[in-house]
Amino acid sequence: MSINPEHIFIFKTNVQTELDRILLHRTLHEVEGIESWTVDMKDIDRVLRVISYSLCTDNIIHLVNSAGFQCAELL
Amino acid sequence: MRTRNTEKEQLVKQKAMEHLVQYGIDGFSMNKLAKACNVSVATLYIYYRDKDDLILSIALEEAQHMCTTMLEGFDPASDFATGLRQQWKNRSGFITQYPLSAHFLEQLKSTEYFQEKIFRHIADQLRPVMSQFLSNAIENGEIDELPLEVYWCVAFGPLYTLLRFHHEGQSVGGKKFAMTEEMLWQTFDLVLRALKKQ
Repeated sequence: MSINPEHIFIFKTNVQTELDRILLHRTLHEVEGIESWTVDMKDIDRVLRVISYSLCTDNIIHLVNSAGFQCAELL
Repeated sequence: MRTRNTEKEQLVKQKAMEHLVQYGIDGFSMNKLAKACNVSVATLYIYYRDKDDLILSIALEEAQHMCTTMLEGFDPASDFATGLRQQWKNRSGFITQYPLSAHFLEQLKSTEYFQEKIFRHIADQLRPVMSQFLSNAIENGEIDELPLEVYWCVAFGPLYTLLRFHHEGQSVGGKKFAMTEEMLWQTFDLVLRALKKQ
């Protein structure tokens, strides 16, 4: 079953390395409301994709910022 | 625009195959692809989880199409000449009709990740049918028992070489070349003569 696009959030971040991804993981993996998230490490832009049914864009940006990374929604 | 649109999805698939063939897997970027399709990067990530997911989804669809084409009208119980002829017809038909798909799949062979996921899928579908066809031919005394690789090289090597010449528009030593039906079947007759017991 495909996910309603309203629940998929796409961001540009400055996550660059595998270590960055692990640091982000520490912040995101226990957040209630995040169903799943991925950073496209194979693509040059390292896009962050989050699936959530309860959080909003600002909540996610705040979480990523608190992990020490820049984060801007891609529209 | 965040709704699924079949026309856009088709365009994304088409352009993704073109980009992969043109830039290779490392040079393939979601940003470049989005620009070529006139969609936002975000739209691509609505459709696909990441770059690997996008490439794999398209590749599996193309691989399935290739397998279906390869098995069309092919009866593994048919006599050797008839079956092999159908294989030549199907394989050359797919490559000449869908050269982009063929090159896209070929390109992915060099990447271990895709090699494993896609080519296992292809082998799972083709192997049982092809094995049965080959076993029948051996049991019926039409061909000798050969190592699979030897059989494959003789049965299909000349076909793929001709098709490559045709696609590149040149053959040995850069000579201009375009394959004709006559050449295809002339080569087939020689292959059949090489494999069939006299």
